[in-house]
Amino acid sequence: MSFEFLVPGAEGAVARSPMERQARAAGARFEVRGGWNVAVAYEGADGDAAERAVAWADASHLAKLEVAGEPPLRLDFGAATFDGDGWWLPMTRTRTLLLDARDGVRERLGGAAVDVTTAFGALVVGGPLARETFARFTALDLRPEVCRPGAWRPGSVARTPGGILCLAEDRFLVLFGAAYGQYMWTVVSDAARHLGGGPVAADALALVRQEAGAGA
Amino acid sequence: MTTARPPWVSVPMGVLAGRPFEPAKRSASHGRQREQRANVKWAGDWRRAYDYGDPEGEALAVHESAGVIDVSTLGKLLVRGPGAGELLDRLYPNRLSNLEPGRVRYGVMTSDAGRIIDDGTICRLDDESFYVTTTSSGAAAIEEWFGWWLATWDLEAHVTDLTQGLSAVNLAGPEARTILAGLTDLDVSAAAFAYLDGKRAAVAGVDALLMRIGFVGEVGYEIHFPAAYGEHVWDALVERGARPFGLEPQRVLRLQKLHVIVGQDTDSESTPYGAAMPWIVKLDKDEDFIGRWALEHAAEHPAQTTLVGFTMADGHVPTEGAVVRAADGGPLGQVTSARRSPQLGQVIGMAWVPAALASDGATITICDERRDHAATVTTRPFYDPEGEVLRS
Repeated sequence: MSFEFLVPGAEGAVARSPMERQARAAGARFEVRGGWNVAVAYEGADGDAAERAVAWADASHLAKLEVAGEPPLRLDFGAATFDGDGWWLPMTRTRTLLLDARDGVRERLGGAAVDVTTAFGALVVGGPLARETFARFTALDLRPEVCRPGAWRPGSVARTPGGILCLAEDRFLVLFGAAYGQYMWTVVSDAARHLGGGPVAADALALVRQEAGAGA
Repeated sequence: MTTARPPWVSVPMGVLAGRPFEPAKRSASHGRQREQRANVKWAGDWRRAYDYGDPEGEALAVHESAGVIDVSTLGKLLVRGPGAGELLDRLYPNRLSNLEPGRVRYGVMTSDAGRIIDDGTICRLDDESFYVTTTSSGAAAIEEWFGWWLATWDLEAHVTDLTQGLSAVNLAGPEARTILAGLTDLDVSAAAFAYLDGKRAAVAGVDALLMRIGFVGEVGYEIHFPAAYGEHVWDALVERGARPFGLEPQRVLRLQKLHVIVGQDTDSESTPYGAAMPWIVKLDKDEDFIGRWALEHAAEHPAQTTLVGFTMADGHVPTEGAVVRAADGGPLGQVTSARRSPQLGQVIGMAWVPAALASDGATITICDERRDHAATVTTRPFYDPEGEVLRS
């Protein structure tokens, strides 16, 4: 017996984000992609929110691994590293999160890697007012001069343990405990809507891969 | 207007405009439970179903057919590596490195002072991997506790917190086996899946870890699986006939078995000896372990007060914290839990009493709201004292 039971993947069952009910209430239409129910459109959504103000998308379905021990590549404190395996997010010297882990990576890493996909909820928040949105619920310093693309800031997000990855100049991914999904959606929604923002489908923000390779 | 000068920068008033919300954890099937009329209350930092409108009926359903309770709030740690067994042997007063893969053992954790700080179960997954559950309220502290000691001892082991990543449900009752059999290919017969076994199997198509344990006293299965399937598995169990039950009926059911809730029935002075669990301490272990020195001392000096069960003579449900008093009116101990049991037709409870009164049939006086009530002490579980139902 091993701990394969941690890995999402089921026969006849769809994996659901901890924020699915909030997304549905906001008008989301879903499609099953890679075994996950993913929001692909929002009824009445402001298509320009991400360009004009701020938009957020549920990215909880992205694969996440916790890698124990020395990571297989050099990682710098406070900086994420993107390579062909995904985004490496250092937590400590001997504990690393691999976000958006590609197929086969877990098997290649062997016993060092544990699937923690369902342990974390994830939201991508993007747009010219993304930093303004975050400023309403986290003290993490995301100012452009200190938080460049590739920066990784583990810390308190909306008074819960989490972390923020700067994907691009105006695009961030926030990780948080999955059980806080409803709460975090409420917090982000409240902050962003006051700035003219709204939820968008996962595709709309191109999530995390489009900007991959941007310097840290 | 104030002019900002380096190194300071101006901060828009907008950043102060975020409204405060209370951080709340919710399990993956929380929304479904609300639809099933769950009466939700705070339980630590979680929102949990206390009942579904009929706590007595829910408790009886567990005895008469089957019930299912969401226990996703339990702390869940994966401990792995060549040093995993040694780490657990050092953290717990009982032995865990000799646990066979596929078996489950109860564990109580103590502080350096030998005081109970948490409890839970440990399932050995393979030679180098253990799945550890903790109390819901103690999950975060115990994860830190593991981390601190791991750093101190520098053992070759890693601890991963899976608390929020896995859903967990407890399916229990005389119909539990039949319900489970309809959802898995696993042989769930008593012979093939015995009490304190842990097995991996698909349940309703979802890969899961199943542990045959019984906090509520009936044949029971604790099923752990990725939280993304929380509603799916919950729905499958309910559709097969398991009745949802909440925390309140669970508290009645566990009280019938005299199962302790750490932090409610124990306090910062409680040792395993006083809490009637001397069997959990293995002082003959070769390894040193947290609390050993204090527990050796406690073993040589019998506890002055002991945790016991009691039944009320007049049917009054004493307030938790009510005083157990002596004939002269002085305090001798206190009630930690009390409920009316619909199964037993009695008011039962647990209390700390002087060791001299910790014997079956002893009479104690409980003073609650300035009135005295007689109660009778029992040291054995009220329900299924031999554990025959649990193991069947």
